[in-house]
Amino acid sequence: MNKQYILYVDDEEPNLVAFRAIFRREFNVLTATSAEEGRQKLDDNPEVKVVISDYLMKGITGIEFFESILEKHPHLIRIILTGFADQTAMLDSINKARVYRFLSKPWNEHDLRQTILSAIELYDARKKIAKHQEDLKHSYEALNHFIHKSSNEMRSTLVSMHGIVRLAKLEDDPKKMAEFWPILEKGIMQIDLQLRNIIEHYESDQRVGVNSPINFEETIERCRAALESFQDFNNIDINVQSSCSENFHQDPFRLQLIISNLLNYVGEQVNPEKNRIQLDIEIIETQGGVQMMFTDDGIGIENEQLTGLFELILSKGSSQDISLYLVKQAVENMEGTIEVTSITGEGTSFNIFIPNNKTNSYAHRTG
Amino acid sequence: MRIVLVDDNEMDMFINVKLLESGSLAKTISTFLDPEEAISHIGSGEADAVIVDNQMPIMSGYDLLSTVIKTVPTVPAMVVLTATVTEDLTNKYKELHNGIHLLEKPLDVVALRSILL
Repeated sequence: MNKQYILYVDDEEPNLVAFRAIFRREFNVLTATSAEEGRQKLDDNPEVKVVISDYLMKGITGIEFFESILEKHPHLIRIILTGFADQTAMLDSINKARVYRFLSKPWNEHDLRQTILSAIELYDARKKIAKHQEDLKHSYEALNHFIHKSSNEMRSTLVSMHGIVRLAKLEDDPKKMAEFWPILEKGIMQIDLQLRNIIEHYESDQRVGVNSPINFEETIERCRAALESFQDFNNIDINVQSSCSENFHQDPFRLQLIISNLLNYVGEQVNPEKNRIQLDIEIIETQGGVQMMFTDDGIGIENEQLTGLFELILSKGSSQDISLYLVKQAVENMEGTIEVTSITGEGTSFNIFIPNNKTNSYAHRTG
Repeated sequence: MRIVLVDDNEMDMFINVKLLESGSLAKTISTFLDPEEAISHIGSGEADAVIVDNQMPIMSGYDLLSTVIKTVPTVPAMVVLTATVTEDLTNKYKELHNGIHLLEKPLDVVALRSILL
């Protein structure tokens, strides 16, 4: 385990020497003989978690020193060492400088060690909570975007359908009216697809420990056929090359979610000049999993859009749906990785690694 | 009145054309799925009014109208169609040009008539 960083500030050099001699084996001990030097050490060493200061130093008290670093280093845990008899005066300043503990001088090695260790523990626990809060905030925002984006897309389909109904009302000729049904049906299918995405996303998030052998050719074909029933998919040529054996075990639901959403995305990348798109899917078995490469010759993705590609951001004038967000979520749920490279006008390539879950699944399936 | 319709979505285009026809508001209706083509058509002075979809993938309604305002000598009447009219969106277009009107989809021909006539 790494040695933790602590800083000890005392204007009496012999104290620093004694402290370092005792604690240098357990901790990375930094020392300073003045508040000024202490601040410099803190600025230079962001790894410091605990700062210990003598109370009575030349021209400054430990409390004043702590107050001076509070704003810049709010997360540090602060400990005061004091031989000072009048502790009531000091207690008033505790709140101001947010001191974690007071220890009396001369200090006792065991007490000081225990205090430093629990200070580090407190520091780590606070950091962990702060990280959790940050993650939570991030997922909350992502969820809000997700709802906003899905609602916007479904509403825009609904208003189109409303337009069709408005037209149908103006039409007296039953033959002409019949033209409207397929359009309405297409709208219904679009909304249904989006709702299914949301339901699948939820289900994919909840799933644990489902594993079965995967046949990639079959899975890809199933996804393609399912999408075709929803939308025009004739202008995609899919070429699958798989060197993957039946050895690969994963959650088939999540893999389907990834493949259908990628196919759906590629379907929207058709270059209008060619009016067709070629999609090469290559599956290679690697150490611990499979590498899936989806390479198309579509319109490509512009550099500035690549960065936020998997995020749920409603960008200006963008009709990009939630497909890629769902892909990333599913990949992460399986503890895989996804990367994308693209050249505008030439095509896009998604490179996905999915770990093999075979060993985990064995007990599961025979059990 | 010569009306130009710009929308990347064919279903919406179909609806808007039919609704416009039912309103007998237009003498000619020119439709464009591609905003660039629409701009050059408007630039040649053959449009009295342009109706654009706000949300399009390559060039948004906002970008399209900005270009029209910058490049076309006589700016036609401008109407923006959007699924939801928000205050932000209204302000954004008002800042671009005071004469831009926003209408919610589906196209309400009566409202359009009162804007254009």
